[in-house]
Amino acid sequence: MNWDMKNIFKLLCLMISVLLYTGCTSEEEDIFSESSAKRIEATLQADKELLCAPKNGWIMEYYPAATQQYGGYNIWVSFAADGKVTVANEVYGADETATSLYSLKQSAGPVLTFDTYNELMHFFSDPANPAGVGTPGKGMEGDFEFTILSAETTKFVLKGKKTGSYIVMTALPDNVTGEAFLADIVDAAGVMNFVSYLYEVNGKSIPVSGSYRNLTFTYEKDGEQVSVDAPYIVTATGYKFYEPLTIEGVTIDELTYQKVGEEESFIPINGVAAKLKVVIPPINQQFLSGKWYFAYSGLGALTKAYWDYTKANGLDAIEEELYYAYLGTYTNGQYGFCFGSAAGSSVYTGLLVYQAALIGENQVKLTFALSGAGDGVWYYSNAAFSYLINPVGTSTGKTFTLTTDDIKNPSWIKLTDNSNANNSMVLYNSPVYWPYDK
Amino acid sequence: MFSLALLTFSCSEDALDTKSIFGTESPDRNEFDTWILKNYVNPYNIDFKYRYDDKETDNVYNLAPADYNKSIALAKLVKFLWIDSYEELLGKDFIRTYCPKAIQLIGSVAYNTQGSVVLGTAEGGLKITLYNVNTLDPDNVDLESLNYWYFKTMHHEFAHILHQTKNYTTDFNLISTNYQSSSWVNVSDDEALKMGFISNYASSESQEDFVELISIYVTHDEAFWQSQLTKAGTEGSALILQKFAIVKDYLLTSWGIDINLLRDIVQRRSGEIKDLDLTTLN
Repeated sequence: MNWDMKNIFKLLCLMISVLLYTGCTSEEEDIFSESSAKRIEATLQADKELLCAPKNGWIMEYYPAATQQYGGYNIWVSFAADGKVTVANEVYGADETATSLYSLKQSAGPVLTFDTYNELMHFFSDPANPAGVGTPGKGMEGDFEFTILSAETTKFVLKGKKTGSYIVMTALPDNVTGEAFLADIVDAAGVMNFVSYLYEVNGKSIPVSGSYRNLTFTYEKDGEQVSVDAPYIVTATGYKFYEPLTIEGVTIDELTYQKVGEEESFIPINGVAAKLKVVIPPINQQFLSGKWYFAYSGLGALTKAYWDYTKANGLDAIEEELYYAYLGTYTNGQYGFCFGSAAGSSVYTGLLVYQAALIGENQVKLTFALSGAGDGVWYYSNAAFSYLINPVGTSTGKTFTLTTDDIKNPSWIKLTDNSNANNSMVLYNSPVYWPYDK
Repeated sequence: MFSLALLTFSCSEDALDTKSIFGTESPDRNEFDTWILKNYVNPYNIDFKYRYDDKETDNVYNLAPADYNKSIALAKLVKFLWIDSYEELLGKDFIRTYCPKAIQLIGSVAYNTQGSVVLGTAEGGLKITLYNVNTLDPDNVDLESLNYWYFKTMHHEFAHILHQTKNYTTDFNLISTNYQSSSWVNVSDDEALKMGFISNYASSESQEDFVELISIYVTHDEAFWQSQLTKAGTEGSALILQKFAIVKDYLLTSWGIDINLLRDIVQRRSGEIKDLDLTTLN
């Protein structure tokens, strides 16, 4: 027997012994008494009964976007046995509802889906971007199909199929209606709407900025500057974080709002020594730290004349339309007049750089730095953008006085040229697309 | 050794389960589901899927589901303007045999990253997806936007099914030689006409060219067709007419479809939609 044959013989012996061994094992006990199909059917039926049971429906702590970057929103949902679901949310207000259909189905586990259009539910997922939050063509990127991770009489834990965001749904007690619950949230959200805070912990004072329902803590950790996002949802009494937040070894997960004298702050409910203090920065600082969008209707008479010139002699000539324009930081981190110009289905973006100097608490001097980034210089030279930006400031600079609708949380800031009141512009905190039409 | 191997199969005692894992009870149907069963599933074996189903959609896009009442309106319009048009010309068996087996509705538009939007898609002749259902206004239907969003797409995709079933003469592919492939997005409709294409999308490749000629012809009247030929100029219109002659001949000889009769039916029915009841499920 040569070496090869010996090996083959050994292999055959091994195979036979394996076959013999497995051949006559006794029958395996079934782990489940029913087939998987029957079990999922029973689960879906049980889930439906649980969903339909609470008289006052459920509150979803709903987080759109895979990053939860816009934070959470309270949505009231009430399921009926006939397959209809009624929805309200805190954005539309407590007394507005819409009814559509829902389904429970099997798709890698039990899935709850809101599968016909409901304005108040799909507000968070409609790619037409009804909220003006997120990018056009995507919107807030929220889910409306959820895997049911756990189901109990008073609590469901769901997971968004696309975002993977966890969403807790809690049954309302029999003595609290959805309308009453949401009304409290709407009131609280109105009071607790800030853009800037200081977080005091372990003797340190950490700056915190707010954007939608998301707090960004910027601090030093192991000698390095770090930024930590903490998405939250508004409760009737404060903020509740999407997940516990640990900074300087101190963990917080929910905060209670309080106002003592003029000082507004948030205190951890778990009793740890930490405090989130509300800071209201001067209006010119708020102006410099954000993106402020132009809309034609918000321009002064002289400012409009400059914009008209650019449209007639610049944009129309190259058959493009201004998609957006704002004052703020460009993608490269430089400050200035930023824009997108639409040519058919393409958008060209650019920056014309400005230097900004704060004067007192409510004035700013803007000076054109005679430079650009992206396609900025091209549009300056070829599409009469020199006129478009003239009202913002030339290379000798213009000084503006700033006013706003709400110093605590401005939705717009108006810049009025100190040297000519006809040159003014109301700039918006939310993106404005197609500013010539708005 | 073989006998040893055979032994291994001899000890199993598992019996087959006598119960099917598939439920045999009818699903819970609402009023619209029952209407669909009566008007789409039973007569034509078409599933009219108005509910969002992630398995039936492209996960690349962010989408919103279709509105229930608007879906009812569109179900009635598709039946009246599209299915019944073909049935009137060619009988029930034709539409039953060749129609796509599922129509999926989506409420929103599907936005591509470069800003363009998807009007509709068809997969291998089996399913047509219609987008932007939520902008349909059942109380005030606008034929032009109906054609733009839904019916041009349906005739377009159905024409694909026809030519994939029976091929057209390859002579067609020799008439235009300047197909633009994916660059068609950079061609305007007016430029396309001058180049000898009935639309910019027709300039992408010959199969799209073929079905665009059909869908644009039947969804518009003769005056529109003539105005497009005028815009196309002498050279452009010559190419379009040469290709259209093949289209016309193909439909007649391969399918017995007189495209002028089909257009007359579609146009007559288009004129009647304002009198349609788009809300009652009857």
